[in-house]
Amino acid sequence: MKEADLALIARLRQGDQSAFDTLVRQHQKALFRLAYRMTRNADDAKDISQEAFLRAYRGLEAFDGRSSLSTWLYRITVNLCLSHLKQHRAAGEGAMPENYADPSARPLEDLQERERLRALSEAVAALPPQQQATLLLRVHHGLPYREIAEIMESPEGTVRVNYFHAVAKLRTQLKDLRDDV
Amino acid sequence: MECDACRSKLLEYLDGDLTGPAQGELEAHLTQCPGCREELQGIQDTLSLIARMPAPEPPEAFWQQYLRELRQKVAAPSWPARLQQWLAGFTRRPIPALAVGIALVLVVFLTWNTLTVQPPAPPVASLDLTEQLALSQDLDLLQEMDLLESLELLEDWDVIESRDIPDRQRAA
Repeated sequence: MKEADLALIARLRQGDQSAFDTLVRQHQKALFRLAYRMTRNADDAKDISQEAFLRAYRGLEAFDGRSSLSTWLYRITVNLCLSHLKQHRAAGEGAMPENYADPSARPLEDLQERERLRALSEAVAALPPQQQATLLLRVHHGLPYREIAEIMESPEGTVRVNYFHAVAKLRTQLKDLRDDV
Repeated sequence: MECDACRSKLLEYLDGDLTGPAQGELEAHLTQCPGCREELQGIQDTLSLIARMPAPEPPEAFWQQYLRELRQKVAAPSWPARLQQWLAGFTRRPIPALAVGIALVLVVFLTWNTLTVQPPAPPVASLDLTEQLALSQDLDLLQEMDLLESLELLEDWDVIESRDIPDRQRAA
């Protein structure tokens, strides 16, 4: 683990309020975006990422330091997202509604590109949750397979297979969409 | 190299995990096979599109509020967390917790009984003779006291006067 992480954990364990602020500021955007891309809902993303920080703070004594702080926070967030998806899918909600009407999002001039992104978003949401999380951690967060394996608590080989399957499915669906157009 | 073998290794190739002779063999196949080149291009396009999937960029004010809320949540744990902790206490220390539970139930039960059940009045027969004689001597006084207790309104004063007059006549 990094020296900075160790120092931060020591301060957190002493109850240093500013250490908690530092922890949140360092990781809030990454956790929020991961939760957003998995749930496709900004309110859920906010709740899930905040809950991840709370659980990390309250479970600090149990943190053994074998993984980095970032990996640990990602793991908590992914688990919360997986529970959330499981709950919503079990309730028959299927893929949640598109929620990309974000005014700060990059404007998409190309209508065809917009349509492809919408289709891709639906296809990503329809992936099995484990594949979805693996894909997002790999592509959007640029994490190596080894770290994703730690986050997902799965063997590295399983993570690779999940990633390959996810990309292959999306490739096929986008190809079908292009053929249809 | 066959096309199937080539296509199964394209992601590894793009990840940079393919090295040495395996990499050379795949690249040699790609130069000769337009179908596999197209597949490679398709995977690159897919990954590029996934990377462009938008996510909100909340303003700074959002993050300030986000942190404020978190600080409050840290300071005051939510009731489910407190309930969870309380229940966890039962599972960690089942026997003392059970004993405390039983004691609490007993205290409540006994307190309730004490407050609601009145002790029965002693039967007259149980009074000894001395007490019976003393009571019979004060019987008139006790009857007057009963009458006074029943007075609630000033209009009842007439009743007393009407009762008082024959008594005085009797005394005279």
